[in-house]
Amino acid sequence: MQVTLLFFAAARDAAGRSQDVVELPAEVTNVAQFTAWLGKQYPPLDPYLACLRIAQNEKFVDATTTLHSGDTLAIIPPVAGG
Amino acid sequence: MQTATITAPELHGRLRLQKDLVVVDVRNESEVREGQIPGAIHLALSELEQRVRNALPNPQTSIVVYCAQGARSARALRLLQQLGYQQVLHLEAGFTQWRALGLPIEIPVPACSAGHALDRYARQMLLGEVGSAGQMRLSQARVLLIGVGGLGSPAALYLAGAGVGTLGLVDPDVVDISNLHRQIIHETSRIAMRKVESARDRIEATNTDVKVATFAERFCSENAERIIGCAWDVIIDGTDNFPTRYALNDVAARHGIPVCHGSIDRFEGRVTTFLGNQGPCYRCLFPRQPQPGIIGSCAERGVLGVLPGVIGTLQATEALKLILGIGQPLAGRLLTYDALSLEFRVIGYGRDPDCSVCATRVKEG
Repeated sequence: MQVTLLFFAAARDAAGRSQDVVELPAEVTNVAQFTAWLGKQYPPLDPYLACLRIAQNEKFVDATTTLHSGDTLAIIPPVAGG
Repeated sequence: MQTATITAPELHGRLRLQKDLVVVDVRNESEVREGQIPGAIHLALSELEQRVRNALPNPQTSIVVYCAQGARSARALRLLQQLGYQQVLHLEAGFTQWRALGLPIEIPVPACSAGHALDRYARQMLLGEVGSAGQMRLSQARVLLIGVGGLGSPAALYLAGAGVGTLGLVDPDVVDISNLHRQIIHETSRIAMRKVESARDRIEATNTDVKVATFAERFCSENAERIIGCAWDVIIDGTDNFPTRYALNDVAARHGIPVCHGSIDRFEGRVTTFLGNQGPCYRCLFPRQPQPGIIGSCAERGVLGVLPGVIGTLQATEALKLILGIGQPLAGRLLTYDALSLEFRVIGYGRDPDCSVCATRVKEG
């Protein structure tokens, strides 16, 4: 399925881009699988995988949420600065 | 129709026990100027229908309405019930009886500056959502700012300008020249001075009505209870590291104090509001605290100077709305701002059923 990715903060730097449109492999159907796939596809993202959150179409979702073709998936690590 | 009334002594007693009880004064502006029940929101009967949903978005809010004698409040009660508010009472014999019994009243003009208050705050008191009752609320409010850096600087200045009665400042650092491109409350002449003292001087120069309490120490789990325990109405999270953000979240949630969160990184900022006992907290949003060193700070990753100006100002906006009881807070919504594309996004989030802070609170509650 095709999805749009939005990278935020440190994830943007790690992925080297702010947006991407990608074709997910057939076996990636939920958020947990997507997160694991992200680490392989963008290896510099790996250190952030434990703390970042995924938002599906402007709503944060948990690991078991099913993905759909056409989703916009935002990859959002926390930010500390003040 | 059933008429739900409460007597003046009963209301006086409940106001001490029930912090979330909202008292609504439906009299006219001229009557309110003569005095009102302390902390009451002023929504004149003629504008009640139009403004109440903004002022009190939750139909489950416990409300007591009052007028001078009880006639207008009975009408207000029926109106509120028709609008879906389910927990409404009206004050028997109204403000007249309250005053006759010698119960406490407040004159809704900011006490500390009387005469010039009307001039100083004229433009915001002109707003129906603020008015003299709202200005009174602001003058009695206590806001704690954790961090007087990039985010705390604009937040403190705008809250001081708005006439918030007491600002608490927590920051262990001294002013460094590298702070000045973004930490606009501090000046070149204040380099090497404690930030809380530099900020206090600037706040007092902006508005002598504002009382300032300073804590020149790093907020941490050891001093959290002592600092948070000073009866704050709202907290502004302008800290610069994760351990402090999580420690603040946990203690503020325990005390049921709302936190207006802001955080920044390079060209990107975030704002959201945690409502204490209602709605999700910081741990619901980011359950896993990043390992030390994984996510860099402004010192390591850099920050555009104007960015905290945008984010800190939004945090101050949220704090003012909470104090005034107007609008919709950013609860359960994370606002992200990208200065490069100049895009704002709002991303919804819910309470984490496994949250180590919220889940415990629900059980206790």
